[in-house]
Amino acid sequence: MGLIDKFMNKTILLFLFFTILILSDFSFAQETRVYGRVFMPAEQNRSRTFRGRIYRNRLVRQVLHKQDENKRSAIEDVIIAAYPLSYDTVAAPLAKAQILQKNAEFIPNVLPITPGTKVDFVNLDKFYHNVFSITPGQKFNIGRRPTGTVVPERITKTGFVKLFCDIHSQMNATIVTLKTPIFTQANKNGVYLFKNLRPGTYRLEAIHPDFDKVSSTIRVEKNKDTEESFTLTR
Amino acid sequence: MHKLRLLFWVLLFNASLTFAQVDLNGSLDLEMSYGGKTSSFLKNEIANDFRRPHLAINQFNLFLFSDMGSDFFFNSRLQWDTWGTGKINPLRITLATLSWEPQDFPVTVNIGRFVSPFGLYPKRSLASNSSFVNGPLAYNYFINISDTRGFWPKAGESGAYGVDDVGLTTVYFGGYNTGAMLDWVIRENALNLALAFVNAASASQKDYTNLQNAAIVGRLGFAPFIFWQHGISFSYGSFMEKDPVNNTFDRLERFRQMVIATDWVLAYTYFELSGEFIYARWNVPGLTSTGFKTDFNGELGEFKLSNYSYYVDLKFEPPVLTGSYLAFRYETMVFENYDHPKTVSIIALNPWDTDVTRYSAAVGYKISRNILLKLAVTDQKYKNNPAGIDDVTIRSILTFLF
Repeated sequence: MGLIDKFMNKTILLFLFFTILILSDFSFAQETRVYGRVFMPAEQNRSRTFRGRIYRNRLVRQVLHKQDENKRSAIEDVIIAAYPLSYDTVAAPLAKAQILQKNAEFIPNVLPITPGTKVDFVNLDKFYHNVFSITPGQKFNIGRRPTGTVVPERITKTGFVKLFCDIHSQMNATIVTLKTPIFTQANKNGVYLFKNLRPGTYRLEAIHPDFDKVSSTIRVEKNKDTEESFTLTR
Repeated sequence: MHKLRLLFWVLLFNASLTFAQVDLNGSLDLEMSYGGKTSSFLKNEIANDFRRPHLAINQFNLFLFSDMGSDFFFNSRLQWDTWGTGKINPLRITLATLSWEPQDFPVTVNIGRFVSPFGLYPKRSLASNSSFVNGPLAYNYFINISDTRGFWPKAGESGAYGVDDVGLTTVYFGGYNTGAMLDWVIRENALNLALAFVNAASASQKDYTNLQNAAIVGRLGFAPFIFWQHGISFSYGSFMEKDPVNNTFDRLERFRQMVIATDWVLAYTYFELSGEFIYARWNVPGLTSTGFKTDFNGELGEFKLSNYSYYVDLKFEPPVLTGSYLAFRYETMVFENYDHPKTVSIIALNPWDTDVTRYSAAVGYKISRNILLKLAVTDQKYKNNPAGIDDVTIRSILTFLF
């Protein structure tokens, strides 16, 4: 009995020691953060265009206001990619990436991936969609697919891969294939954040398919914040 | 009058540009074509004077979409083409629609000149929407009925489009109607009714009328399954036009055209099977070289004529060659026998026109998002005539969208 008590006391003491050690480490730790803001010109609503709309038999009502409320703003489609200059990195394919087709729109409108990633295309509408790309180096056409169908397509081309739906001419999206595994997207306020980047020098790129790419070089130091903002122009 | 009307629309066009949010885009269709030696625009869409290989602007279109606020929208199409004559036609506004489209509401209202709710082809009439170059026979083959003379065996046979009276197609090739249209989504993704009150029946090619014409045009669309869209269309109304040739007669509005049709699109993955069946019945006066056929009282005799046509399109998009397609069309138009009106002297032609069958094949390739190239071949044969190449067409169209 006494032996057991002794063992238990020792275990509790060890547990308390390590807990205090870990908590003390956390309380004194500082994050390495890279953050900033992206600015871009006011976006134009181009969801309603002449061709393809009036020359079509109507089977669904207009629900554009509803869509607009939930719609991501263009600034959320800005990708910030960090390319390490002071060490090598491997951009392995992502485990999962998907583009949905809902309310006759691609969601998300801009999808960042790494080369070799298999992107699943999912039709969530109650009518047909198609996805095709005629981007040189990544041409494909998945054909007309009904509701719920998931069609994977491996994307190998780096840069922009433009996607369209043959049935709904207003639908378009872009896959941005990056040669770095370090990337993020701006939030609705245009703010982006990288946490705990390895110290070193990086080339940061702000990318959006409708704007010119903007880049800058930063130096990241341990436990220090680095701020870098971008202004996108056409 | 025509200039005044054009001026009005141009002013409206400009007003939209000035005061509202405007989206402008357009298309340019360049055509290289060849037609057989008996080619005629009335029969195979190639004017005989231009049947030898040549490069031409088939169409230049400027489309305007304007959000005018408060759920009102304005759509228009400014069109410049060599359609019909082979020569450049005057610039014209072929579409001008004011739409009321409340958000998340099942009904929309359109007034002005709008895309006809009738059938399938009016929605595929732009080169960028169509797999072929020629339109279906029901929309592009001129028959022995004129909107000034009625049943007239010379119509569809001779004369120059845009200059002479060359008759009508069964349904207007442009695919537009003038009037007011109500479009109701009865059941989302399943059932739709479009109903239009317009100024002339579906055969009429004019965007105005100089008689008290009126017609109703509609389409009930439904989708039994996701892979199957179907429509039932109808049109009924008057379509005759007052003209020096018929101005000794009154009440031309009493002559009518009725058309009923069904259209379908069956599609899955890389295949699409689509088509239309169109039946038309006409109550028209009759004219031969000796003049209008009248009864003993001098009233115009009424001929009851009918014809039907159908086409079936098969389209395949080879997955190994992204952006390309192959398409085939079989179509035929049949003219039915008719009974001569009582007390009216006999016109020998019966049935009232010659049956025609056409075969088409097309290949297309999307060079880029905004450039489409297509090549189409058609040949047609007439009843009791062996197939030949006199009416063959070989047409390629390069479409630029901007």
